[in-house]
Amino acid sequence: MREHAPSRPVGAKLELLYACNLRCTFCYTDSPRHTVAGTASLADGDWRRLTEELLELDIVEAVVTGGEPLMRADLALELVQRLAEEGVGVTLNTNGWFLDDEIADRLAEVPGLSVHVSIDGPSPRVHDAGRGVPGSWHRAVLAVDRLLQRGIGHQVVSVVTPEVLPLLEQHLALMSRLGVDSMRITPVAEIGAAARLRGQHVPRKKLLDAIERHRRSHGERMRISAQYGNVGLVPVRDRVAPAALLIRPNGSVLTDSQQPFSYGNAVSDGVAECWERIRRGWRDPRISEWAGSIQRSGKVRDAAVVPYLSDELDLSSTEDGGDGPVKHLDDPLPRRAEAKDGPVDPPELIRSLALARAYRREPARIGGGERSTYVRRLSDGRIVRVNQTALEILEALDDASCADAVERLAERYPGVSRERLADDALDTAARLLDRGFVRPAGAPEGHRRLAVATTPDLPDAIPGVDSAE
Amino acid sequence: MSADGSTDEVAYEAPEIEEAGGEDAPAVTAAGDSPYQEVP
Repeated sequence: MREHAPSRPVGAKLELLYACNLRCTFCYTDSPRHTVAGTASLADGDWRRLTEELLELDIVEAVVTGGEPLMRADLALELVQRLAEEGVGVTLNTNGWFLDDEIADRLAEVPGLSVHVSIDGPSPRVHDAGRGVPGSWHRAVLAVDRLLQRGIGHQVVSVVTPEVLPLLEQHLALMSRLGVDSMRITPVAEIGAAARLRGQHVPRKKLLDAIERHRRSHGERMRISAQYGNVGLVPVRDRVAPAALLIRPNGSVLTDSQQPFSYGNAVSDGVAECWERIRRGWRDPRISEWAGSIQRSGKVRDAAVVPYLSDELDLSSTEDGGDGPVKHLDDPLPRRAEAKDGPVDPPELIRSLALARAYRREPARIGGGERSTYVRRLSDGRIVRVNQTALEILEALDDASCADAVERLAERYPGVSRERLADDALDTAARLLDRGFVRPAGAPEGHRRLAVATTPDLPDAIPGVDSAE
Repeated sequence: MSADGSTDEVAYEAPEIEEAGGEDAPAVTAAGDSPYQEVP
């Protein structure tokens, strides 16, 4: 356990705005309510100043999020670029709706960026039902494809509800086929809008079993992390010193999304001052009391103050808070549209997107022959041995797609089904991409894939602690 | 079609890729399966 907060924050999460275009029932930031209420967020100039303050404090990681940050696309892209050009590792969280080719081109210019896109399940029916807006699954899948076309670091984040759980394995297989590098699987956190729901519990074992079955049948090419028990960690958060801070759309500074306590306002008090307050005050008895109440009841949503459902409780204020922060249990929410699968066949769409994606060969020298062909990449001398089929696919993938490789294979092997050739071409392209022998045709010169994507707000760094069932 | 009139169809094998070396180890030779002849 970390006992002391560092003298300066290591990371920062910036919630640029409250509003979102989706209507997720389980939204942990309760954005649909804020969208209806029209809750005001900080102005562009405020966010620019705060970003400079954070850079002066030498943060090394940042998450740009919302609401839906691409509803303020120009601002989000400007901040992401500014942070990244100073060497900060940046994650952009988005539902993918607004991530078109133009935005994807701009994101491709950001060094070290990781874009996290929410896709909950293997079809519009299940994803759009949770997200409350028809078309959201389709738009999110196209967004991920645009990231893949350009070699942009990414992670697909899936919120697993009881409706999604039976489809999780199918979902993982589909995302793997799309070419996704990394997935994070997370059950519903009972904060924000989700605190209004009941019956969202997903048994941990079933979730982990589905992931394990996927790994056994598909291998470990796609990294999968199961983030289980975020909210279960709340009771121990008052014993773990914070290393990062979170700035809400109104400027309130929190330690993370799991606690509803504010240490002042980043704009009026300054980020450095708020961090000092965090360092001095993270063991405030009001936090321990709050965490203790959750530990006793086992339910965050029954606490007097629920993160994101209630207004933040300002620990720095000397004013009497009266009855405490308002808990927005019965505030108006936007209407949700009914979701259905529609004309898109999800596996067919995913397959056609993956087949159409173009690659370019990295400069390499090829020697040997027959069953032992060796390919030496010129940039670093890495060598792989490939058989004839893999070599043919590698040679085909030069400013060409897997669909082109399939055409070439089909000519040479007329007796083999196109479906099998397509599966083999897609799997081989993914492995060549992982090993750096091809790169997406849309990736900039000198493109390097991100080794790890991290998010400072997540409690993954706390070993050996997990949620109770 | 080959010279003796038989079909010239090539048997299809599932694609295979395996590591044969690393950045700091010329493992093709280290593994003893070099496609090259070592020069004494």
